[in-house]
Amino acid sequence: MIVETWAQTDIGIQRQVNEDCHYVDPDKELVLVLDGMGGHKAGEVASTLAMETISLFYKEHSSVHPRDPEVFESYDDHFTLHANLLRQAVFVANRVVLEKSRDDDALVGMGSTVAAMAIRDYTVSTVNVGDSRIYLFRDGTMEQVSRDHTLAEDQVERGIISRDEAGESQLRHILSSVLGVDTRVRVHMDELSVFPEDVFLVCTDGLTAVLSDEEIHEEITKEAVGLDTLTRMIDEANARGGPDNTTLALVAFKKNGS
Amino acid sequence: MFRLILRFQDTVLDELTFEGTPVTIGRRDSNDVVIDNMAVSGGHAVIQEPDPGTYVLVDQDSLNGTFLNDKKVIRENLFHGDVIIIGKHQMEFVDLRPEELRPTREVEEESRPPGPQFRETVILDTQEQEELMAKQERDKGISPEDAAAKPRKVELFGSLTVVAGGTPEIIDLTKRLTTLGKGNDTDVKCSGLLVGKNAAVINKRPTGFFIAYAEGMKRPEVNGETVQTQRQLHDGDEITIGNTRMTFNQREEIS
Repeated sequence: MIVETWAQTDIGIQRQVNEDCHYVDPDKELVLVLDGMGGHKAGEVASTLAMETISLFYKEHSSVHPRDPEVFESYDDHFTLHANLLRQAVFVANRVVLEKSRDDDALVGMGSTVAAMAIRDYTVSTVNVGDSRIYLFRDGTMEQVSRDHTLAEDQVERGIISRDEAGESQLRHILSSVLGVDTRVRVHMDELSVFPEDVFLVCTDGLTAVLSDEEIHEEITKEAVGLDTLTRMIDEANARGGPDNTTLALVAFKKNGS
Repeated sequence: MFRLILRFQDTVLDELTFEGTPVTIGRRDSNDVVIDNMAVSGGHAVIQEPDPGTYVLVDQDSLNGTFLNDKKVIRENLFHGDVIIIGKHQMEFVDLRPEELRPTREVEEESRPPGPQFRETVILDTQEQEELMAKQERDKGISPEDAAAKPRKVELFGSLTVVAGGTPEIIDLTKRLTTLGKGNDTDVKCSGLLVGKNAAVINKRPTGFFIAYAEGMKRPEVNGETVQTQRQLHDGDEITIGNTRMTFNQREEIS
C-alpha cells in the first residue's frame, strides 16, 4: 500500500504563541501531533521536547527485540513490538519533559499532550495521552481511535454521565493525563489493520473545539484528501474565532499503483 | 485609585488598596498581590492603566487562564464591581472614585455576540480533580453510591481451533493483532503453496473480531467466501488459509 501524509499547524486568532507541534517521519513510519501548555512559551518547550524525544527514541530502536529489558520498562503482550516501542518512547518523553520542567523556574508545571501513529505495512499502532485525537475514516464512517484523558471522559467511563453530556461538560477541558507533570503517565493504545482508502486524521483540540464531528467528516469525505482539506479546516476554525492553536495531520492509504 | 478584595471560597482573605499601576498578580513573592496556590502561575496577570483612570486586566500567558466575571479574558477593561477569578481565588475590583466619575462598561460590549465559550485546557492535580468531579456530581444530584457503581462492561473473547493443515490446537485471540501465515514469527502457522508469509491478520476491536487480508497469492476464506479486504467474524465461522482450516469462536462476558 502507498501511504500519503500532509500536515499543517496554525496559531489561531486568540493566542500569542503556537504551543502545538507536529512531526511526520520522512519514511512515513511515524506521525506525531502534540499540544503543549504552560505560561510564557513553556508550552512550546514541552511539546517540542516531547516530539523530539519520541521520534528519536522510536527510530533509534526500530530493530530492537521484543521485551528487551534494556529498552522496555514494561511490555504488553496484547500489542505488537512497534506498539510497545511507541509506548516506551512516550514514557521516556514524559520523564524528559518532567526533568526539564524542574530545571528552570519559568518551565515549572509545563506539559504536553501527544497523539501518535506508528505505520507498518498493513497495520497501524496508536498511542495518545491527553485530548489530542486520532480519527479513522473508512467506508463512509468515522471513528475516534484515541481516547480523551479528560475528567469528562473519565466520568463517561464510570457511567456517571452520558457521552452527550460529556460534550457539554465544563470538565471536558480538564486533562487527567498529560506528559511532563508526573513520573507516571496513563496512555491509551490501539492497533488496527489498515486498507486502501482508509484516512486517518491526527489533530489537537483546537479543531475539535470549534468543528463538530459531523462537520469534520463532511470536510474529509467531500473530495479526495490533500493539503486543501487541512487548509479548509483551519480556515473554518479561524473563521469561528480561532480560540486555540490548531494542528492537523492526514494519513491516507492507497492501493499500489494507483 | 482602586481596591481589590481577595476572597477564597467566600472567605475574605485581604483587602488591598492601590494608588498606582501596574499591579501584578501571581504566585511569586515579588507580585503586588500574592496568591499561593498551585493553579496560579508565577506571574499570572497584571492590572495596567493605559490611560489615566482606565484600568485594564491583562493575562500574562498563564497556565490556567484569567477570568473576569466568569469569562476567560486575555486583555479586558476593568469596571467597578467586576470580579477577577484566578485559580480558585476571587478579587472584587472596587473603583474608589466617586460614582459620577467612574466609567461604565459600554452597552455595545455586552451586546457583542458570544463567541465559543472556550475554556482553556487546564491541568489540575489529582486531589483537585477528585474535588471538582465530586462537586459536579453533587450538583447533578448523583449520590456517591451511584457514582461508585461501574457501568456493565462487555468483554469479547475470541479463539481459533485449528482442525486441519496445522498442529491441532486452540489459540486464544488475546492480542489486538493476531498474524496468520507461513512465516516463522506469525502467531498462527498456516500451510499451503500460495500462502504468504503474513497472509492475514485478525484485528480485535471493541466491536468484534475482524479478519483482514494482508499479502500473498491466496486470500483467506470465511465459510467458503473469499475475503477481499476485511470481514467481521462470527461465532462458528470457518476460516481457510491455504491448507489450514480453523473454527472461530466468540463469547461475551459481562463484568
